[in-house]
Amino acid sequence: MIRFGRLDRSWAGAALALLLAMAAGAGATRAIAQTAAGDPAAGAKAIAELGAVLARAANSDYERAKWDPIHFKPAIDHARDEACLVCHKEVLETKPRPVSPAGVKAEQTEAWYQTLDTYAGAQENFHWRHIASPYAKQVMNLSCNFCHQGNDPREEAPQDLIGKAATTTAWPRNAPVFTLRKMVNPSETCLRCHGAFPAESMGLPPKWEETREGLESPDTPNGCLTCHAEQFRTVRHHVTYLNAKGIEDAAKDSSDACYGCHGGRSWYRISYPYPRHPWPDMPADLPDWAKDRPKTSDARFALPIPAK
Amino acid sequence: MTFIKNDFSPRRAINTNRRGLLKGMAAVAAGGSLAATAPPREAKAFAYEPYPTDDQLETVVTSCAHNCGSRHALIAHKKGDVIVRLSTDDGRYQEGGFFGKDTEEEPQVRACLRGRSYRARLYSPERLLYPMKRVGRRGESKFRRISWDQALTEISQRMVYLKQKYGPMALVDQSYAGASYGVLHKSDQIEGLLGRFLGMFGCRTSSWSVPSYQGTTFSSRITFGTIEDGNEDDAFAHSKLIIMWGWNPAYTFHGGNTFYYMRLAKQRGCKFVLVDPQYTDSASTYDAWWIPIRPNTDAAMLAGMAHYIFANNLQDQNFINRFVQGMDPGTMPQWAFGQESFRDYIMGVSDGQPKTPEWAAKICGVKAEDIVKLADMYARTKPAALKASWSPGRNAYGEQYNRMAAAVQAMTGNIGVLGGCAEGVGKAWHAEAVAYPYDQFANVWFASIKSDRWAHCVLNYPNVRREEIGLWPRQDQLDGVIPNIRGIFWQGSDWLNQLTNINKEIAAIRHLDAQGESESLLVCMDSTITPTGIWADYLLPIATHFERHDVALPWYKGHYYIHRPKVIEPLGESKTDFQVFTELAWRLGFGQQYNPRASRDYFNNPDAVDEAYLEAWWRNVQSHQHVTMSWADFKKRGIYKFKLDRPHVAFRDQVERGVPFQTPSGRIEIFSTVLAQTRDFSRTQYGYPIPAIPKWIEPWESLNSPKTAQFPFHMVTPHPRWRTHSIFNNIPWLRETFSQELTMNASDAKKLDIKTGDVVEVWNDRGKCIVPAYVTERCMPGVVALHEGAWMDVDANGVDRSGNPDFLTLDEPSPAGAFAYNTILCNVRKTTLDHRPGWDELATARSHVFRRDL
Amino acid sequence: MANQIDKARIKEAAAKKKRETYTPVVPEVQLGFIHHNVDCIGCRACEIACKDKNGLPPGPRFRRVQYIEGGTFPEVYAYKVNMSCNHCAEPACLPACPTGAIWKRPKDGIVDIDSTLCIGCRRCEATCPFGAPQFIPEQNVVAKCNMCVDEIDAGRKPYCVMACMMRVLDIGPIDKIADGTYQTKARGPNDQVVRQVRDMADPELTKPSIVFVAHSKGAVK
Repeated sequence: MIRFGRLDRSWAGAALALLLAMAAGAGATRAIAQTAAGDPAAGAKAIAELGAVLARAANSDYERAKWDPIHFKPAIDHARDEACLVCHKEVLETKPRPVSPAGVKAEQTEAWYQTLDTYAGAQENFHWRHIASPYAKQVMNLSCNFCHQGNDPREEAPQDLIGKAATTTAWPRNAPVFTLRKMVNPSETCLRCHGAFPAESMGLPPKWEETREGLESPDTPNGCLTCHAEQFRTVRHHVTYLNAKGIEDAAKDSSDACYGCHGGRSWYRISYPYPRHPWPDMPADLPDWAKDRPKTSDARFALPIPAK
Repeated sequence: MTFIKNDFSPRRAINTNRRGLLKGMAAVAAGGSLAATAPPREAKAFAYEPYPTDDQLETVVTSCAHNCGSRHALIAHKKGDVIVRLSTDDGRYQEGGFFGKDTEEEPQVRACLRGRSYRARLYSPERLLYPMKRVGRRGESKFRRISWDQALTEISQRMVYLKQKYGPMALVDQSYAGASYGVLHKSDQIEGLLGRFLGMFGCRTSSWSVPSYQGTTFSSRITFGTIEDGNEDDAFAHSKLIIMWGWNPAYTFHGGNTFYYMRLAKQRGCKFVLVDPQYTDSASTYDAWWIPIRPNTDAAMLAGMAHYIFANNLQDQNFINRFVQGMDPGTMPQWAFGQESFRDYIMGVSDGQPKTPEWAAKICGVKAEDIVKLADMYARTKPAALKASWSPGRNAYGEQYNRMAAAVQAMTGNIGVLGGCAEGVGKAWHAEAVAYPYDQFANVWFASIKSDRWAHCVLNYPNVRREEIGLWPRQDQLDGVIPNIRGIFWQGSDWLNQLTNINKEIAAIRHLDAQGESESLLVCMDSTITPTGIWADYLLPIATHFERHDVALPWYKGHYYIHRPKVIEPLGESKTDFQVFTELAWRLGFGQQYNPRASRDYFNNPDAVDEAYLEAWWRNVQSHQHVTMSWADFKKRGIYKFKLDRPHVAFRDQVERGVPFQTPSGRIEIFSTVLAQTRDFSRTQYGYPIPAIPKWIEPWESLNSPKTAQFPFHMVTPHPRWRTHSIFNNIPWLRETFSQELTMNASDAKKLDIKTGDVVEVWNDRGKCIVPAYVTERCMPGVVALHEGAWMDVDANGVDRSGNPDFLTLDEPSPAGAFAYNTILCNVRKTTLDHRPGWDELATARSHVFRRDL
Repeated sequence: MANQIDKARIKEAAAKKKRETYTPVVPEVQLGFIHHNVDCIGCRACEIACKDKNGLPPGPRFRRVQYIEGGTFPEVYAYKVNMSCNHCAEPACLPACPTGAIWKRPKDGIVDIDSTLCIGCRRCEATCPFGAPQFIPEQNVVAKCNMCVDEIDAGRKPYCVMACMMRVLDIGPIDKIADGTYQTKARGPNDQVVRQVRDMADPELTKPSIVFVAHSKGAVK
């Protein structure tokens, strides 16, 4: 018979605790069908459950896996990282090459993040640094679906994704959950930390990397705190995808904790229009740049209100 | 035999030296200190990776080859005997050309995606490099390498044996255009190299119906007396209205620059209409008014339009009176006076049923008001092109659709005028097409059957009636003799995969198997392994068009020749078809007659002989087409583009100067002289009656038939753009950009709980295939579309896992010979069976954990 | 002693420099692409020409013609958006690269990766808002469109442009394309160009050198 390449299922097998999967198998699928018929959110949640994902992965092939409902709204909203990693664990495991094809040694080059006090170690892959590195664990709380809100194997326009009605509602300004040729929408993900530093909004000279030096000494290692320790305090960091306390603690020791996101090597030439949380004694007249901004963070990133 | 290697990479396959060179460069690069973001001192493209630019490579002008209906330039950039990359016409290669020259009169002939992928096919793991002999069961894919001598000895001995035992009709010629479309190395269904070879050998059953457009061919011949009813592509730029009837030039390209001239038309204010069950890319590109129509009901809608035009007296009566036979009672020939004219039929004079737009609406599912609107638009806009494409003709009674369209074209006087259209087949500019020996042996046959009836003939022999297989009449004692088929030659042909009802074809091969190993012969000649080749006894490796000397020509639209030198030496032991047939002919005793310019050494050294044939052909070009360029100059430049005084428009001479049409009456025959005078259709190749005027005839299955209770979907099987039929199905570059999938309407899918990406099974009582679904609003409800040409992959239960629609098609052609490729009722459901796309789809997985080679 | 101070100072200066934000190269001329979203038939000849030119295996696609469709039967629409690397005025990929494998040509603004200097850290892939850098898993490096610099240097146009059967893809000085003073067949006589189409990442992020003739359903705002 004709063999069309190896189309076995070893890709899934390696990632799985197969016994668990088999036990969960048929039952999980049936359970999903039942719940989905009733409450869509519950159905979506059931689809995104780890056990159900394991079961489907064990009984799927690539053709089916790439169209699995967990890759789409609404189930992706409920997906925990463990469920994503059933198939995609390589995102945390791959490493840059030690040597480029022409002989450039990775250890002799320096990534920008390696110039900061907040990072020690060799160059690592992007996903690991954002999710699993010690510093990420200290100051961030990123999950896969913070950035990845859907993926169409066709990679075309999100509006035309299956279940397209669900793909735009969670975002501010009705922005798409991913953009053409890009698995994410950078304006609603990357830009939150990697935008330009609007020094002029603070009445500072444009080159913050120079300005800060005049504000820093061994006693006050973080120039940002000159203003932001007492005078200007916001609760912007109080969102689900950041660890606000970790940031505050890190900021005491090093300005790089701030500079890493604000004012450092920004990827983009614009900055994220952060919400302007009111603070005590906030002046009534808003500066122009702040006029159209929301007063609270996105509901989807809201933390539970802490008990007093 | 493995079809697809997991690690296919042209970079690896071709530029294997690059990695080695890279290592050599490593020391140099490592020496430099590379600071974090500081670029190397002299940032320079390809500073570290040796990369030959085009100007450092040898440039060879050639072309694509496969018979898609277009033909475009390919420029091979080669180093030594390896093609490093391909580009296409950029205006430099013609007389007076320069980079960027691209005028409306002399446009560049730029290759499509398929043409651009040729290097991947040339060097593909599926290339056949040596003669192979089957060692397992037919279809089991087990072969071993043998010598050419052994292969040709065994084949010729078997040929002689079968001819002697089973007669001069034992071997079926199933040549098709897969290997070549050139002036010299021509694989052609009717008059190619194989036909001449088997004809001279004295044992040939010909296959007369052309899968692509037999219904259309019939219509063009009956109506206009020729299939050259087409305008050149540039004529489309002059239309005010273009109705694309089942026509998708965004997929099929259909000529050198048809699609581009239509863009110019749009910029000049032309309006576009698409009549098609699918909202195709042609519709979106040309911003067309989409009229979704039930498949296989086109003739009814056209009849409804004709009714509106007659009823409102919008027809061009002057044109009708001057040029048309049988449009109305007044234009009936004297000998048929009183018989039913087209107008009688449309107005219901003869059968009491006026073919009103309302009548048509019930059949075709298009609102009567839309039929009226379109008819009115077409009748009042001058000039208007109704392009009646081939696809709706690939249907039960498909010929009636094309004839009906021709009637509507004629009644509005849009024939023979610039911006109008009489297509039909649409073959336009007449090329000098033949360089190979062409003589009384060009098309000798002892039986000729409808092409998709061979399996029926094999399975039912000798209890077959001549009309069942469309036996072409003869004037001798062989007339009506049913062929005892014992072998097939597939030359550049993947017909086992491409004809209708594959399960029946497989049964026919099994039937031959059962007669004994030596009692039949299946030979496949191609440059790659094909799904058909899997079933052959012998696989003969054929040189691709890069590996032999030829001249390419567009056979459909476009007026140019492209020289096709031997760019590289043939890979492995591959030979040209012409070499193989010549050598076989020598072994069978007619080598000198078969290839008169060659000695027996042709099998080893074909170059001088090929050159002589082509040079002689060029002399014909010079004398017949008033070309003054020398053969040497043509070879040097690579492309010869004709500059026409004015856009070529079919039948302009007939309309402007009164030259008679090539029909028996000399007029456009809406009422056909030949058909009206045929008394017994069972004695004709058609087998069954065909009315003298175009009529709506209910197809044997459609969305209007009771069978929809069991099979509620009508499947159409259009040509994909990422394959030429089945050719290129093995090219990963093309496969990663397009998927084989079942297109279905979103509301239908919702009822069946099917989402895009779900694997579905599509089935009817003839077969079943497995394929992923593509759910869209761009397909009308009740219709599903599955592109033809996927390489079959049959499981133990006879289920095709590749998604080949011909497991569901019926091998019952229309009377005129039209293949019923689009007359399929089926059902669809979600399935747990596996689809096998037939290539290493995982190589493109974005998440590389899926990639098993890492 | 003085030597030591100098060394320390140089080291410090270098470290400071490294921690600075990136100042983009301002090219003499910025070349960029124009694509007609409606008149494109979506044949992807440009994609295949690119694959062949760059010797790419299946997987990485420097150029991609995206099929966008919508509406409800029978009121449907479709158009194509064709993008490769947009050779941004202010590319995000460039400052992200730790090895200096990415640079922007002062002459024409082409952003190029020398993949032989790439260690496959994939930061450029992450930063690019338009998905241009393509990871090649077999080699663990990233590669991308370089606008066929070899062809540009030879006075010609990139393979994708020269492959376009509909003549809807072209390159030229992007400011002249944008203001309509550059002659190109990509743009019809009555067409206007825009910098962004629906679902495309915000051009303000990096100022991509590309404009489109948009479909009415693909217009932004």
